[in-house]
Amino acid sequence: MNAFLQGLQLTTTFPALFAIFIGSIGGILIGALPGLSSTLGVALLVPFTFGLEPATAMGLLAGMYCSSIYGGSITAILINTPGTGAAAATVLDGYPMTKNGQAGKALYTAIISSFIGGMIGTFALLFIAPLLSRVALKFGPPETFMLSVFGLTIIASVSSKNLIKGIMAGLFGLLLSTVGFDSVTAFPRYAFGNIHLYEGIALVVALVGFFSIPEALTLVKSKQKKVDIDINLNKNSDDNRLTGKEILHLIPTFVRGSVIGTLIGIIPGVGTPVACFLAYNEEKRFSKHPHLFGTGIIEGVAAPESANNAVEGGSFVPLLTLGIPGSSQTAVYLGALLILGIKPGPELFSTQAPIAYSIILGLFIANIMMLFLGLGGVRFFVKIIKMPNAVMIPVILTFSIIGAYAINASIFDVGLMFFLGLIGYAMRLNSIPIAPTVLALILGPIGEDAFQQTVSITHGQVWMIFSRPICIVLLVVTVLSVFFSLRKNRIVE
Amino acid sequence: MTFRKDRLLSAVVAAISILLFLPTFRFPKSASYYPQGILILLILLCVPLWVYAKKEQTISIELAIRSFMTTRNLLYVIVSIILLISFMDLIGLYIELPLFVGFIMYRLGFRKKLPLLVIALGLTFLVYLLFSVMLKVQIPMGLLHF
Repeated sequence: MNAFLQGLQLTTTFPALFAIFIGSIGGILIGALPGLSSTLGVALLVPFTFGLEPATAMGLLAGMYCSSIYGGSITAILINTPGTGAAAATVLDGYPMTKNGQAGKALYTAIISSFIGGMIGTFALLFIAPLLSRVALKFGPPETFMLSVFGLTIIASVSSKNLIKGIMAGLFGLLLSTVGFDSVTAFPRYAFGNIHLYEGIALVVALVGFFSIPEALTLVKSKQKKVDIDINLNKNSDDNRLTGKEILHLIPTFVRGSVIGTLIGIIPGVGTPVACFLAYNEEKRFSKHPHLFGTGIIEGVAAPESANNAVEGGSFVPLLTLGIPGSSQTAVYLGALLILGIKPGPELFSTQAPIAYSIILGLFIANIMMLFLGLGGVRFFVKIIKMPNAVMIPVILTFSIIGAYAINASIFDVGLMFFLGLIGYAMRLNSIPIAPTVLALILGPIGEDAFQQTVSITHGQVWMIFSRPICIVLLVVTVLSVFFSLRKNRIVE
Repeated sequence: MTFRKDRLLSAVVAAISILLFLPTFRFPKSASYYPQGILILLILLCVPLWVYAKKEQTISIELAIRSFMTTRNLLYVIVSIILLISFMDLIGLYIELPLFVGFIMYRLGFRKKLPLLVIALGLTFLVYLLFSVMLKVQIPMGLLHF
């Protein structure tokens, strides 16, 4: 308790609070700009942490980390361009809500869900971190492989009306994920001798291409002033506020999304986008009106948004308790901690307990600041969609181009983004859903790598993975997920 | 020539899948199974897509090409993006960007000259401020590289 209070004292100094504030503003900006990830944001801030007190430095990074994940949802909701991979699932209902004239409600849902998800994830980190870290240690390649198989069942959910086209879109995403070095033989598959393709297709390049280019081209082709978007946003309309009743109605969604996000966060190497799609899928399965998902409903925004911010807390569990960074963001965090002379691991809570608690409390305060900045910003953010198409289209294209370029400072990536965008546009014209492609692109490398490692571990006897309890549970969950998704779809039809 | 839309799609997907199957024979065995499996599934799925293609959803290739060519703004935007990407290294993004933004705005019917100029230059300045000044991204400078 004493260490906790000391941690609280360290986090509530003026420099620490100011650092969290600055980090949060920067995070919203970085997250909203396509191509700039939360990892990049945290990495950019590391040099600024030199010479700062550990609690101040960690506060700066916490502000950036929390807010950048939320920031990605702003452009996802308003212009169908997810700023980060974490917002890929938010697009599915967030943008349709904007098209229905409910941009304000979608943004309020996103910020409140992000806040609640972030808080639940951090509570889990504070109270049950040692217990959760044991789960992380039990997750080997076979479990990760089964998890990715389970994740792929989401394709059935996000395939809208045509399951065949949805599965084909998913297979296309899996095929795209094979581009680049094979993890076992290091053979560059489908690189066609182009060194730019050796490392594979960057997720953000694909996200920007698949979502924003088709959107811009659709806007160009449309003769309307605004494609399907109700620009008559009425400040006083219930459509643009999130009522207390709706927040109460969303509580189970927040909890489900946050639990999924926290659990996925503690598993090293799985990543935030997977958590978001899983949360979206589970929400759809739990829903009494699954057919409305994809048409613009608040549950479709709340589930992925609470999950992606809950991942933060979860991903800190293996970092702080075991010293294992489970994601690229926490890997950068680990670097910053080591620079500051903090050695995460089993002994952190005994040797440097006040610092450990100050890191966790920094995440709490960062989430609170993100909430206020997000709530205050909604009325400014929604103005974006009031832009005429003639201005909106070049703005979308400019940030798509510069965002794709900024990832690797590569003009090739810009060309690739545009090429994928044209494919995405063709898919849209043929009523092929894009979400399964993006989902498979995210899960493909995780699943394939885990499978290759599993084959190696089991000496080719892959069925032996079913002697592992977590694998059996995941197999049962996968089978049930497919069964109930298909059954529910049939009932709706 | 008129086709059922999904039949044309399934033929295109099958043809591309077969084309992508051929290079897998040059992959090491363990690296080839996964893409081969995906491609076989894709080819197999083309069968139900072909069989269940709806009669009422047809497409005429001539009409589709004509419609694309007559949607001039779409063509202009696509061509200008290709030009922007092709000459980014040579001319430089900060020279190309205001021209690109201004051209697209003009083509899409924005005819007020001063606001057009302000938006095109303002957006370029914003990109410069965010990416070059704050984030230190190495933007291609082209002709401005001196």
